[in-house]
Formats: sequence, C-alpha cells, structure tokens
Amino acid sequence: MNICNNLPLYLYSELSEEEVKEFKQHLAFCPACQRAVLTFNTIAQDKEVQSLPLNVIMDIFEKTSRKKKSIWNLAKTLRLSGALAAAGIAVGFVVFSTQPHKADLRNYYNISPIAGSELEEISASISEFEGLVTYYG
Amino acid sequence: MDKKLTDAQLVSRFKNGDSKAFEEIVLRYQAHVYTYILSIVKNPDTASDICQDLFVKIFRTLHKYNEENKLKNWLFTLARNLTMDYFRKNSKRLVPLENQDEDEFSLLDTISDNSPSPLKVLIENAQKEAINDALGKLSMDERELVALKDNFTFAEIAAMQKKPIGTLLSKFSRTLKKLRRILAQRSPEVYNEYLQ
Ligand SMILES: [Zn+2]
Repeated sequence: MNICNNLPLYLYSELSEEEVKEFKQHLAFCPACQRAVLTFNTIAQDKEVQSLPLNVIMDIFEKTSRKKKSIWNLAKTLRLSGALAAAGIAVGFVVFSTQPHKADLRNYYNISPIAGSELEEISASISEFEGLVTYYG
Repeated sequence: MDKKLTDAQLVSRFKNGDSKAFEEIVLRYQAHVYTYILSIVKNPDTASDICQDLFVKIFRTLHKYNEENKLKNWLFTLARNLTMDYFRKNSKRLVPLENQDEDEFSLLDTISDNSPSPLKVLIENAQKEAINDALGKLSMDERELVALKDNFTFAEIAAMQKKPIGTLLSKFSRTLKKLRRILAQRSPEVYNEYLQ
C-alpha cells in the first residue's frame, strides 16, 4: 500500500506509534504529503462548532417535556454546557459559510462563544425574549 | 445532572423516567449534530428544523432503543437520513445550493462591529471567510466527510457507511487537494500566506 494513503490517519492521530514514526520519515521526503499537511493546518485554524440557536433548543425542550421551563434556568444550563463544550470540542470544521460579522439573532444567541464573564450580555439578549418569559412564567 | 454520565447511563436513566437525562443528551450533542447537518444543507434555518425533528424523533423512540453504546452513531445516522429526506422533498429548490455562491462579504458589517481591534478582526474575518468559502465549494459528500471527521474516526465512519476505509482516506486526501486548488484560485492572499 502506498504510504501516502495514511496521511488522513496521521492528521487525525489515528495511527499507531509505530505507524506515526514510519509516516514521519515518509513526510520528510514527500512534497505532496507536506502540502496536504499545510492545507489541513490552514483550514483547521478556522475550525468551529456551531451551537443550535437558543430558541430552537427551547422548542425541543418544550416539545419533549410537559414541564414549563424558566428561560433563566435554561440560559444558565446552556451557558454551562457551552463552556464545557468550548473546553472540549473547540475543534470542528466549519463546512459552510458563516457570517459572524452579521449580528443577526441566530448568531446573537449562538451559545458556544459565550465566555464566563458574559452573563450580562446574556441577560441583555434574554430581555428580548420577554414575550417568551411571560409565556413560560 | 452529573456531566460525566456516559451515553449508556443517560439512555438507561431516560428509560427509567428521568426527564433530565433527555435534556442532557440534547445539550451534549446539539452542537455536533447541528454543525454536521449545517455542513450538508448550508442553511441555518433548514439545519435548525432538521435538528429539531431529529431530537423529537429521538425522544419518541429512545425508550425502545437497545444499543445504548452507539447513541452517537444512531444520532448521526438519523441526522443523515432526515437530511436526505429533506433534500428529496425539496430537491428542485435545494440541490443547486451545492455550488451556489454565498453572500458577499460585507466590509461595512465588519467595521460597525463593536470590536476592540477592528483591523485585526477584519483580517481574521477575511481569512475565515476565504476558508469557509472554499469549504462551501466542496461537493456535498466531501463536506459531509469533513464534518463527520470531527465526531468519528475513519474506521467508525467506514463501519457506519459500510465503505472500505481506503475509499474514505483517498476521498479525504482528494478533498484537501481540492481545497488547496480552490484557495489558490479564489483567495490568493490566503494561499500565498499559508500554502505556498
Ligand atoms: Zn506522501
């Protein structure tokens, strides 16, 4: 088998120690694999996992539970989960065109970028959910 | 709820009537599954709809699900099936999306952003835009493989899709080559800086 075929496994650390050694020796002399590593690393710089919009998660919870849910509790839960997610899963290809500069609601409620100190921002955004807060009481 | 519960434990708690267990499953997987679906359909509203369908379906059928250890595989397989159903139902309208150009990058939107360092953000956004633009030019299959790779090993994907692992490896390598070509053509500034 052509050792170049192992390149994707090497990029994702899915080779055994022995195979990694072997592949690195190959990499030093294979311009095609070197280019591919470079491309992969460049793309990886903008890896990102997108979170479902908050209102969609609320809809899911509403459709799968009879219990009324306080938006505040939900926001807290999501923030916690977002922080955990950011710590653990900050590697994901964005395979679509994101437009982070467009402050539409979807991005506004996007959970993963929320950092620990941004509770105030969340509360500001949640005030826009006033109708829902009334509804959920 | 204890965040360290395994999928199997969550499924078993759910079967025993613990409603929090389902919420935990949603929170654990929503971003991964949403990102995956979005990579295929490229439309946030459509991806949100499919994701919602997916979790409601999971909720309704989880009680009869017996392979607790493969919850993640089941989620992604179902996500794929629902997405393909969606394409079938909307084929006329949606198929051209594959090669459709995304919205123009808007300079004004970026400048009006409340960022502490507008110039840095501008450069980062332009670069991000270029890379996402290139990823968006891939075929649906290629985008899907790239998205799946964030959640599964090549061996796992081969088992799920019942394909030889060698086929997936060649496809992934071809995809990297294609991305390089697209960046060279469409975003020479990124290409020259990182890929020369
Ligand atoms: Zn090689």
